[in-house]
Amino acid sequence: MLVVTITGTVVLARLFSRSDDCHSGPVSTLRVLVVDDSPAFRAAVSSFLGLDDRLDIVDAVESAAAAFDVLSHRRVDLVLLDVTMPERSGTSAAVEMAATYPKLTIVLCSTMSRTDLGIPAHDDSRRVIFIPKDELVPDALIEQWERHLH
Amino acid sequence: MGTTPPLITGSEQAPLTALGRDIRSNLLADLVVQAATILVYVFVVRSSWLLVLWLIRWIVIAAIAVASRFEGKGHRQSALWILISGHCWGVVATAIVLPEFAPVGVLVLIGDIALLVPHASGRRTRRLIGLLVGSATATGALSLQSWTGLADEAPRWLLVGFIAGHLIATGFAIITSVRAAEDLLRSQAFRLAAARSRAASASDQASLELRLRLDAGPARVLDELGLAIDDIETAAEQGNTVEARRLADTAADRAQQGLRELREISHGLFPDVLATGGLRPAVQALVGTTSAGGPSVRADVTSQRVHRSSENAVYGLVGCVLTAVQAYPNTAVDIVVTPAGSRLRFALLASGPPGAGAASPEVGSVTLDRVEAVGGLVTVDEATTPEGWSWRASGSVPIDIGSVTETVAAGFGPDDETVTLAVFLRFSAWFAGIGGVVVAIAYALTGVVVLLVIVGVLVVVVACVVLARYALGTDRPGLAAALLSAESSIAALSVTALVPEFAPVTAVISVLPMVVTPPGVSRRVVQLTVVGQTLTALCSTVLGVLGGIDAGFETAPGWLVAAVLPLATGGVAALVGASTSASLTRLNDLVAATQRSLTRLVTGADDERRRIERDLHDGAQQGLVALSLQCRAIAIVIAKGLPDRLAPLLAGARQQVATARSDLDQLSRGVFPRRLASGDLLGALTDAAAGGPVAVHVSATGGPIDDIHGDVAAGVYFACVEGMQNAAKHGGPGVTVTIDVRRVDDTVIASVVDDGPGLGRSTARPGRGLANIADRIGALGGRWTLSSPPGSGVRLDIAIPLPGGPGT
Repeated sequence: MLVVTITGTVVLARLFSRSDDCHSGPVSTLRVLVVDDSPAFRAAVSSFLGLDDRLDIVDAVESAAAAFDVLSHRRVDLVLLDVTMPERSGTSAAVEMAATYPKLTIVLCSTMSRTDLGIPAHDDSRRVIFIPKDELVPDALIEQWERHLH
Repeated sequence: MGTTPPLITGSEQAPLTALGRDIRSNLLADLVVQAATILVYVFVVRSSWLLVLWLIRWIVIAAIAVASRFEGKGHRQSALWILISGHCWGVVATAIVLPEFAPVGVLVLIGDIALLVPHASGRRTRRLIGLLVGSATATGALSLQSWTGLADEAPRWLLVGFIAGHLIATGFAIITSVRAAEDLLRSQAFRLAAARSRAASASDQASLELRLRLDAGPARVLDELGLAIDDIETAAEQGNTVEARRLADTAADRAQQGLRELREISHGLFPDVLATGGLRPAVQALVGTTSAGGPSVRADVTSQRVHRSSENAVYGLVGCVLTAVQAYPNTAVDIVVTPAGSRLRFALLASGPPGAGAASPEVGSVTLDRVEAVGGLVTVDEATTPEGWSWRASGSVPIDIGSVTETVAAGFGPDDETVTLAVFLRFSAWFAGIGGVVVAIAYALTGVVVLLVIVGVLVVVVACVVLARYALGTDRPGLAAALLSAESSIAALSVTALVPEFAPVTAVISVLPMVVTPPGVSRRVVQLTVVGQTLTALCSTVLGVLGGIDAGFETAPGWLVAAVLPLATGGVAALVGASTSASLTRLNDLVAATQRSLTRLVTGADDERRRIERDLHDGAQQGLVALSLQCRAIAIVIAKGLPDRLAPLLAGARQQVATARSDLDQLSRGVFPRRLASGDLLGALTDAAAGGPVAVHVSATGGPIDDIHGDVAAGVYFACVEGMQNAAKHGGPGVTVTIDVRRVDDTVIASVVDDGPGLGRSTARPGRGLANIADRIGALGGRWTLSSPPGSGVRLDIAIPLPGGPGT
C-alpha cells in the first residue's frame, strides 16, 4: 500500500508540476531528448540534429529509466525513443510518457522497419509516430511536434 | 483434374493405425475359423468337444469386438486390456478342454507380448505382460492333466489337424505383427534421419548464404564508406567544398542503402516481430505486405505465445503460402491458428478460380521438416475441380517442446538389424545352460536315463548358440540364423520324442527362429528358416499328440514334470518377450532419439539465427545508421563552412567504420568460415586453430583433401572445432591439440587428439558440445567415438561417408 501511495503521489506531483515545466509558451528552439542504448547512435544523432539551429539536444540517455529521470527535472518538448532497448522497450515507455506528459511529443525510432517491428502503416492521427532511424531528419521531428501542438 | 492424395508427415499416426489393424484382422480371422468349425461339426464330426471349443471362442470374439469399439473411440489402453484378457481366458479354457492345445495357446500369448511393446508403455505394459506370462504358465501346468475327457471322444486326426492349423496360423500372425511393427518403426526412423540430414544441410547452406550476403553487402558498403571519408577529407582540405559536400551526401545515401540490405538480411534470419511479439503480429505484418494489390487474406491467429521454434515452423508455412499467392489478386487465403490443449492447431487454406494462372503453393520439404522437427504434424492436400483449385495445409505443433538436451547419439546402423537375434542368443545360452543344470540335478536325484540324454541335447544346444553368437560377432548374421534354426529343430524334435509332455514348449521353441531372423539376411536363409521351422513345429506337435517314442520317461516321478514344465513354459515366454521387445524398444528409442536430435538441430539453428539477428541489429545496423547520420552532419558542416567542427566529425566517422567492420568480421567468422566457403577445409581448420586459446597442429597425413567439400566438409569442420574447444576446456592451459583429416576410400576420417590429463570420472559427463557433434555427424550418416584412456589425453575419432560412396 505504501508503495502505491508513494507512486501515486509522485504521479500527481508530476501532473501538477508539468504545466510549469513544459510548454509554458511558444518556444524558439525544440528541446529534444534522445533515448537509445547504442552509444554510436546517440553520438551520431546528437551531432547531426545539433547542427540544426531549431533543435536543442537536451540530453542523450541509454535507457527508459534514465529518460524518466531527465523528464522529471528538465524541460523537454520532444523525446526520440528507440523501440528495442534491453531493459524496457521504447513502445512500453512511450505509453507511460504519453499518459504522464500529455504535451510531450513522442517519436519512436528504430533501425528495423515497420514490418520487422509489426507496427501498422503511418497514421497522422496517432499520438506517437514511428520514424525509421535512417529517415530521421530535423524537419520530420519539427513537423510532428507542430502537428501535436496544434 | 482430380484430387491429390494427402501428404502426411509427423509421428502421431503410426501406432494408432497399427493397433486398429491388428484388432480388425484378428476379428475377421476368428469369424472365419468359427464358421469353419461349425461346418465341420454339422457335416463331418458331431463331437461335443468341438462344440465346447466353438462356444469358448465366442467369448474371445466378443472381447475382440468390444476392444475394437474402445479402440475406435480412442481408449487404447482399455482396448488392450479387453483384447488381452479375452485371449488369456480363451487359451486357459481351451487348455482345460484340450490339453494338447497348450503349445498353440502359449504361442498366442507370446504373440500378444510381442505386440504389446509398441502400443503401451511403463507400468501398464509390465502388468499386461505379467498377466500374459501368468496365463502362459497356467496353460502349461493345466496341460499336464486331462480335466474333462471331452477331447478323448474326438478322432485323433481332428485333434492333430486342429492344433497344427492353429499353430501355423498363430505363428505367422506373430511373425507378421512383429515384422509390421518393426517395419513401421524402421521406416519412421529412416524418414526422421532423412529429415535430419536435410535440416542439417539446409542450416549449413543458410549459414553459407548468409556469410556470402554479408560479405557482398554490408561489408563492402563499410569498406566503401572508409574510402569515401578519405575522399571527403581530401576534397575539404583542397577547399573543394562543393565536391566534399557531394561526396558526403553520396556516402550518407550509400550507408542508408547498406542499412536497407542489412535489414532485409536480418529479417530473413529471424523476424524481430516474431521473436518479441509472437505469431499474431508477425502474421499480421506478413499479411499487411501481401494484401496490397494482392490476394484477399483473412488471418485469425491466437495471441498466445508458444515455443519459439514452434512459432517459427508455423510462420515458415504461412510465409511460403503468402509468397506463392502474392501475385494473384483473385486468390483467397484463410489462416487460422488456435491453441488446443497442449498443441497449437493451424489450418491454411488457399483457393482460386480455374485457369487464374496461380498454381497452388509449393511447400518445400525443409519447411515441412521444420514442423516435424518440433514434434508437429502437417497434412497437405490439394484439389483441382472445374470450380477452381484449393490447397490446404493443416496440423498442429506442440506449445512446449520440452527438454532435448540428452546426448544419445542417434544413428541407424547394422547393429539395429540384428539386435533381436543378438538378445535372443544371449538369453538362449542362459536358458539352455540353466535348463541343463536343472535336468542334470534331476538325473542325479532320480536316475532316469532319458534325463541324461536331454542333458546331452542341451549341451548341443548351448554349443550351437555359442557358435551362432560367434558368427553374429564376426558379422555373419545368415550363418547365425541358420545355426539357431538347426539348434531349435534338434532340441524340439528330440525332447518331444523323449518327453511328449514337453510338446507345447518345444513346438513354440521351433517357430522362434522365424521371429528373430534379421531382415538383412539372404532370401534363401529366410526361406529355409520358414519351411524348416514350420515343418519342425508340425512334427513336434504330431509327436506330442502321438505320445512320442517309448524312451522310458514314464518311470520319472510325476512331480518332476509338474515342476519343470511350467518353469520351461514361462522361460520360453520370457525369452520371446525379451528379444522382441529388445528389438522394438531399440527401434522406439532410435525413433525418439532421432526426433530429439532433429529438434535440437532445428531449435539450435533457430536460436543461432535469432542471436545473429540480434548481433547484426546491435552492431552493424547501428553502425550504418550512425554513419549515415554522421555523413549528413559532415555535409551540413561543409555547407555551413564550419572547418573546426569537420575534423572531429571525420575522425568519429572513421572510428565508426572501423568498429562496425570489426563487429561484422567477428560475426561473419562465427557464421561460416571464409575458407570453408571456398572449399578449403584444411585452411579453415588452420584459421580456427590460430584463433583459439591453445596450440593446435592441423595436418592431412593421407594426402590432399581438396575433394572434401559441401556438407561433409562442414560436418568435419564443425565437429573438429567442437573437439578443439572441448580440449581447450578440459585440457587446461598448455595443452597441445593435433587434428588430422584424411580420406580413406569413400570415407573421411578425422581425429582430434590432445595431450591433456584426459577426462576424469567427474568431468566425463557429455555436454552440449558432444550433442552438437552427435547431431552433425549423425545427420551425415557418420560415426564418432570419444575415448580417454587412463594416463593420456582425449581422443575424438570421426568417420563420415562421402555422398555417392558405397556406404551411402
